[in-house]
Amino acid sequence: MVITTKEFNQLAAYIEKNYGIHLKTEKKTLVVGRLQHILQEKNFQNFTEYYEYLIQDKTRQAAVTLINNITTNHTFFMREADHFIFFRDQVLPFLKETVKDKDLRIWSAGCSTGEEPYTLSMIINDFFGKEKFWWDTKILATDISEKVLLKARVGRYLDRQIETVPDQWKQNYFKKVNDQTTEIKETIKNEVIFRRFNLIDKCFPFKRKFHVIFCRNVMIYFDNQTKNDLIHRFYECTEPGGFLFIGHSESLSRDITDYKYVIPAVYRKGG
Amino acid sequence: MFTWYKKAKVSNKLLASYIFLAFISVLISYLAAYQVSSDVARESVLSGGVLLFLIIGLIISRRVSKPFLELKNLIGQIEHMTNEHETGDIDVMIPEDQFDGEYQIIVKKINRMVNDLVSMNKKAMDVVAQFGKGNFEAPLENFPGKKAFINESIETLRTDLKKVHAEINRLIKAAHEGRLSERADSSEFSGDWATLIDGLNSLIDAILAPIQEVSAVLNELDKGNLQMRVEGNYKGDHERIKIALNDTVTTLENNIKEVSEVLTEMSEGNMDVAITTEYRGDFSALKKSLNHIIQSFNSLLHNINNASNQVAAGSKQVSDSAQELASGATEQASSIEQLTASMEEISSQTDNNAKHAGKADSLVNVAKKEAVQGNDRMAEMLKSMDDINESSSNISKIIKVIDEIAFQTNILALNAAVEAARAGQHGKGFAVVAEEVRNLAARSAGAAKETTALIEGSIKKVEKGTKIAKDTAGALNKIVDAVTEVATSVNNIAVASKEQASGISQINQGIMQVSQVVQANSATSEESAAASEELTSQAELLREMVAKFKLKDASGQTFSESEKISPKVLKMIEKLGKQENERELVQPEKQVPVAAAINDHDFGKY
Ligand SMILES: C[S@@+](CC[C@H](N)C(=O)[O-])C[C@H]1O[C@@H](n2cnc3c(N)ncnc32)[C@H](O)[C@@H]1O
Repeated sequence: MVITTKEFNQLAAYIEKNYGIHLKTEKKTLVVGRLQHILQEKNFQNFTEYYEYLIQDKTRQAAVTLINNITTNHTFFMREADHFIFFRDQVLPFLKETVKDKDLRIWSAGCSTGEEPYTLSMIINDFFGKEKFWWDTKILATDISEKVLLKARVGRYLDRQIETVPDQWKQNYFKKVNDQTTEIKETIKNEVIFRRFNLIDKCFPFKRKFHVIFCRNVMIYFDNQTKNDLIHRFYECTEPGGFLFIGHSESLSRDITDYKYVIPAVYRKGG
Repeated sequence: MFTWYKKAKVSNKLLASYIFLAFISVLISYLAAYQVSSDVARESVLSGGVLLFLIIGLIISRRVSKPFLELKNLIGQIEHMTNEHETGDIDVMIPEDQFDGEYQIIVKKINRMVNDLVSMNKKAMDVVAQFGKGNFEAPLENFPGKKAFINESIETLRTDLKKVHAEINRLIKAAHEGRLSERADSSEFSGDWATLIDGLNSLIDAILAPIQEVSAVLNELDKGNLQMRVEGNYKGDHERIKIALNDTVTTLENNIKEVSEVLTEMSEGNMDVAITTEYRGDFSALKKSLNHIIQSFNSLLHNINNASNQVAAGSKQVSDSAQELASGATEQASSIEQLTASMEEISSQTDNNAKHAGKADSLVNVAKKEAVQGNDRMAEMLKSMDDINESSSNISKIIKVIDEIAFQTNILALNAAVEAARAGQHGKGFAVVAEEVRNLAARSAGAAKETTALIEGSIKKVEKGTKIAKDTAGALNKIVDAVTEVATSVNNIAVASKEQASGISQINQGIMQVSQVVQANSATSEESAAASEELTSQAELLREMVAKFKLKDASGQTFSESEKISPKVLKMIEKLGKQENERELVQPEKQVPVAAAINDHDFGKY
C-alpha cells in the first residue's frame, strides 16, 4: 500500500486541524504502517477512498479508529521520575497546607494507558496515608484515544510493563491476574477518573481550576501554534500557585507564557 | 593739635586730659582684649572700653564744672598731674605737703577723688579684663550712689556678652550637630552687637554657600545626575574645590557615558566593543574589568556559539536518525502485523488439515472394517458355492437315476406297446397308455438331459464363480492390508497435523510477543523521534539566539554569524523551509473539514 503526496497532505492536514498532531512528510511510513490494515479491512483501494469515508462518516467510528491508530501512546510507570519526586516532596506538602477545602484537582492530560495517573495516585495514597479519608484526591485523566482509555480503565499490565514499579507498590497496589499479567487494585483504580477529551478543543469544560496539570510528551506531537494556544488554556485553568508539568524534552519560552520556571519541565503560575 | 591744646582753657585742658585718659584706658582694654582669643570677646571688651570712656568723660565733665582756684601752683601741680596722667602715669598725685590749709584740704580732696576715680576705673577695668579673659562671671563691687551706673553698664555688658556667648554656643552646637542652616538671631541685639551678629551670620553664609552648592551637586550626583556643575563664583580654596568637583563630575560623566554606551551596545548583542579612551586611577581598573568582561563574553559566546552550532547539527542528526529508526520500526511493526495475518491463515489451514486427517482416519478405519467384513462374506460365499457344487453333483446323480428310470420306463413302455399290439383290440387302450408312458419317459429323459446340461452349466459357473470369489477374496485381503496401511498413514497424518497446529499456534504466540515488542519499539522510537525533534528545535532556537551576538573574531575582526553556518546546515534549513511551504500550498487551512467532537461530557467532580 502506498500513499501519494497529495493523499498524505490531505490526511495530515485533517489530522493536524482536528487532533493537533503534526505529521511531516517523513511520517508517510508511519501513516501507511498504522492505517493500512484499516484500508484492508474496509476494502479500500487507496487512501483517497479512505479519506472520503473518513470525512463523510457520521457514526464517528471512522474518527475513533483513526485516532486509536494514529496516536503514539508510549508511556510507563514512574516515567521521568524526577517529576514524581518533586511532586511528592514539594507539590503535595504545599497543597496540603494551602488547599483549604481538601479538594485536590490534579489532571493528567494525555494519560495514555494510565501509567501516569496511576503513579500519581499511588504517590498521593502514600503521602496522605490515613488522612486521605478527609481529602478528595481523585485525579482526572484524559486522552483522545478510546483504545488507550479502555486499557487504562482495565488497568492490567504485563509483568515487563511494571518492572519500574517499586516492590512496595507492587505489594500494596497490584494484584496478580495470571503468570504474565498484574492488575491495579480497585482502591487505586477508583481514584482515577478516565475520560475522553480532545486537548485541541478551544474551550475547556471544567468546573474549577486545577492545582496541578501534567501534560507530558503530548505537545511534542503538536505544531508550535497549537502548543502555545494549549499552554495558554492550561494557564487560564491553573490555580494561582499551581503547577504545570511537561515532558523533559519540552520547554516553555518565557515570552509565550506567564508560567514561571521551577525545575526542568516544571512550571508554576504566580500568586 | 598741640596748638589747640596750648590755647585751650585749663578746664578744657583738664577735660581733654581726662578724655585722653579715658582713651588710654580704652587702649589698655583694647590691648587686654587682644589677649582674648575670641573675636566676639575682643569686640565686647573694646565696647567696654568705649563705654568706660564715656562714663569717665561724663564724671569728669561734672567734677570740673565747678570753679576752681587760680592758684598757680595748684594749677601747675594739677597741670603736672594731668600731664603725667596723660602720659600714662596715673599714680602721680598732687603733693599734699606743698599746700596748706584749705588748699591742702582741696589738694587732699583732689588727690582722693583722683585716687577714687583711678581705683574705680581699675576695678571696672579688672572686670572688663576678666571679661576679656573669658570670665564673664567676674564680680564687681557695687559702687555707691551715682557711681552705680558703672555697675549697670558693666552688668549690661556682662549680659550682652553672655547672650552673644550663648548665641555663639548655640551656633557651634548646631554646627556640631550638622544643622548648618542654623543662624544667630540678631533681633535680640542692638547696635553694633546686632551688626556683629549679622556679620557672624553672613560669615557663616559666606563659608557655607560654596559648601551648600557643592553639597547640592553631590546630592544630584548621588541621585545619578551627572549634568550638574558648581556654578558659583568662588575664590581661593573654594574655587579649588569647585574646579576639582566639576572635573570629577565631568570625568565621571564621560566615563559613565562611555561605559553605558558600551553596555548598551552589549545589551543589544554587540560584543565587538571596548573602552578605548584613557581612564585614570581606579577608573582604569573599571576599564580593565569591563574590557576583560567583554573579552570573556566574546570567548564564552564564541564557545557557546560553536557548541550550539554543534548541538543544533548534532541534535538534527539525532532526530533524523530517530525518525529513520521510527520509520523502520513502524515498517517492521506493519510487516509483523502482516506476518501475523498470514500465520493466522496458515494456522487455520493446518487446523483444517488436522481435522480432515482425523476424519479420513476414521473413514479409513470404517473402510477397513467393511473390507474385512467383505472378506468374511466372501469366505462364506465360497463355502456356499462348494455346497452348491456338492448339491449339484448330488442333483446330477439323482438326474442320472431319473434318466436311467426314464430309459427303463421307455423300454418298459415299448415292451407294453408290443404286448398291447399283440392284444389287439383289447390292448388298444393299453397301447395308448403305453405310448403316453413312453412319451413321458422320453420327456423325462429329455428333461433329465436338459437338467444335466443345466446342472453341468451351473457347476461350471459355480466353478467359475468360486474362482472369481477366490480371486475376490485374495483381492479383498490385499485391500484389507492396504486399508490397514492407509489407516496407519492417515492416523500418522492426523497426529502430525495436530502437532503442526499446536506448533503453529506456538509460533503465533511468539510472533504476537515479537509484535508487541515491535509495536512498543515503534511507539518508543516514534516518541523519541518527536522528543528529539522538540530538542532540535530548541537547539536551533539557542543557535539563533547566540548567533544574534556580534562577536569579535579571534583575529580581532568581526564577522556575521550566518557566514559561519556550514553550507550543509544551511541547505537543511532551506529544505525544511521549502517543505513547510509546499505543504502550505497544497492544503489551505480552510479546506480542511472539521471532525465531529468525540469528547465525553461528564467529568465527575471536574
Ligand atoms: C506519548 S503519550 C504520553 C503519555 C504520558 N503522558 C507520558 O508522558 O508517559 C501521548 C498521549 O497523548 C494523546 N494525545 C495526542 N493528541 C491528543 C489530543 N489532541 N488530545 C488529547 N490527547 C491527545 C495520545 O493519545 C497519547 O496517548
